[in-house]
Amino acid sequence: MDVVIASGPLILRGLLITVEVSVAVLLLGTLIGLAGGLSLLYGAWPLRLIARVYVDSMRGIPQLVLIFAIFYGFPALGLQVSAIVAGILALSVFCGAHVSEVIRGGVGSIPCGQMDAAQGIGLKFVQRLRYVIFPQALGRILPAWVNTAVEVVKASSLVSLVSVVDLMMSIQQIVGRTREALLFYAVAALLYFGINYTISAIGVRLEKRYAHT
Amino acid sequence: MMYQFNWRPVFDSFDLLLKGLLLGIGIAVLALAIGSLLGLVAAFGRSSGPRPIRLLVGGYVEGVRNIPLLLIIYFVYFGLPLIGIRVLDNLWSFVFALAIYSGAYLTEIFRAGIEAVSKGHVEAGKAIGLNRWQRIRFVMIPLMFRIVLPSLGNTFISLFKDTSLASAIAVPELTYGAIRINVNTWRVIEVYLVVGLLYLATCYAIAGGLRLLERRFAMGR
Amino acid sequence: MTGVVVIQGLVKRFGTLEILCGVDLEVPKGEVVVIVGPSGSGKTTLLRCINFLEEYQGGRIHVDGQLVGYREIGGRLVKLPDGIIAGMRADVGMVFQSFNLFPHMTALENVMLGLTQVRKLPRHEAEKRATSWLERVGLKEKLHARPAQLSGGQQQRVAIARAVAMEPKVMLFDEATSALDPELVGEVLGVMEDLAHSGMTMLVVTHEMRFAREVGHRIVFMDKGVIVEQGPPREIFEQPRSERLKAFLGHFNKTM
Repeated sequence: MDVVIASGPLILRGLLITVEVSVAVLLLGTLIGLAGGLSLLYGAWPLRLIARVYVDSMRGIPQLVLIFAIFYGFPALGLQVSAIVAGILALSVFCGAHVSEVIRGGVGSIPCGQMDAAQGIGLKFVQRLRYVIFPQALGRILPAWVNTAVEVVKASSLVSLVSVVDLMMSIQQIVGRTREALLFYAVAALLYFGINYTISAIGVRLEKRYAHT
Repeated sequence: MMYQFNWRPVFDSFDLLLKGLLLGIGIAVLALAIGSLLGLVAAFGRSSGPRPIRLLVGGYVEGVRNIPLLLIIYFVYFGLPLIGIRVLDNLWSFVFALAIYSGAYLTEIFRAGIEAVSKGHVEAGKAIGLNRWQRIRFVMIPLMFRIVLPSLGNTFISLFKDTSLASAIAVPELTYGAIRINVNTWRVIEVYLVVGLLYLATCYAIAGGLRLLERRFAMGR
Repeated sequence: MTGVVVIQGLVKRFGTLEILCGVDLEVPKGEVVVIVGPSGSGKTTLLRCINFLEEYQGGRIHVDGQLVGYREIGGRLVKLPDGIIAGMRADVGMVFQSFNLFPHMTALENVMLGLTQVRKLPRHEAEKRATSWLERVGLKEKLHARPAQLSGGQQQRVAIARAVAMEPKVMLFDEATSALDPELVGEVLGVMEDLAHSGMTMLVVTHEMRFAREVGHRIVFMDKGVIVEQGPPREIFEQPRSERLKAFLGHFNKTM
């Protein structure tokens, strides 16, 4: 028990970094995804093509390779980024591709007639999305977005490989020092599980609220 | 500042990358095979086993799907030796970690597949007198396999991408090759462009192959 | 008990809903019994109970002298293990409305599966028997076709071959032609008629009144979970006694 208490602050700091990275990635990734998804749906063909290539290539490249590429590659291009920023950028690019597909799928499931009707009553494009399309698509988008959020939290552990001291790294350091593998890996598992379980639980609630079918 | 491209060092070490790529595919195949076995047993356990088994499988699936793969890798590679289990080297540690991880996803895929097998076909099996095991073997599994083939393919592609994590415990796959070339030559942009393209091309090649396989097994209902 | 199928006081419930409320029926060897009735009358459920695709809650079903699905211990019914039930089902052939051919197997493989796995015939013998049955239902050319490549009528004929090849004591037909396009109904009814003439014991649920009249030895009219009236086709169709049967036949005369 003593070792846990002694390691408490380190774990807590790591946990905080994990949460920070995850939240930042989700925010940035959702913004990118919104732009990507709308480009896929309504963009002119060059934009649509770019978005398609972006989304499809992210499907075939490991997140870790993205992190390394930005972490080592940016400085080589003369752009100084800290490890944590490199991690956030890389994971956001990855998350954005996921969210793009989520948005495209969710909005795409709304019948075309809705868009036509909204146009018919004279709403502008952004208004049509804001008042007609998104409220209906939310029921489809939310569950998939929550899955993405869980994936992001899990993927955030990869920033430990560019020596960001997140939850994963702090646990590694503690296990290295105390040799208490079973205990601390269990603690890490519980914490990750706790975060993701909470996200899923919130997701289920929101889903219920926004589900109109 | 202009970056001076120099591809020479990367292509000089291309065999390192290629070997890494093949190793990654091999690892993904092994993990998929072991994970499928695990997932198949767990899926039948979850859909028709007694309550304790169902809870156990549920715990496994929910647990694994909510924790990072890296944690499982560390647990198998660093954790097991610390509690006295020293049988796996880094390569096999990774294979087993990935198999355990994929097993959870495959359990859900197979369970959905089992549920999607039409009741009528199972009843037809009953009607000609097949016992439970024969129904599973001759009706459920072949039909389920065809239903889950696309998901199985996607899982395989994910697993292949996840093999990049093996670099964290120095398994010499593609990402590890990139790290080494980068350290030795500092041709960082070239290396990661090539490696990224290799991953991308392989994923799409696998996807294309799977589409052929699906067509081969299509029942055309 | 002399009948191949002997049903006494059969009761089947889904939860609190009673589907069969005490059905008695005895079918001697070689008889063709056609069961008719409005939908929801319990006729399909009755068939499904005979090869234990449905468990029943009261009464007894015997096929060839054997109690179906249960063992009787001190007046109580105890469900038999799966393996034994499977063995009993092998002696009861069933043809489904939706064919239910195994889509991943050829016609030949569909028929052979039960022969090799349940009857434990050697492969070449199973293949011989399966081939001869497929020929008999007129599908000599389609041995290696997959179900998806066959018409509905052809699929149903394969399904009949698959069931008959097991050499069952009785054949059950559950609305075997209801899912077929009208022009394909005839070929399936032809096979069924051929089978009836060969002396097979058959229970047939159908809406094909012409088949019932011409091929059936006995018509059983069911409604709301009980047998309301039964007798030779001529009697049932020409001198119906109960109001319910009159109404049922009247409905048919109007629509057909």
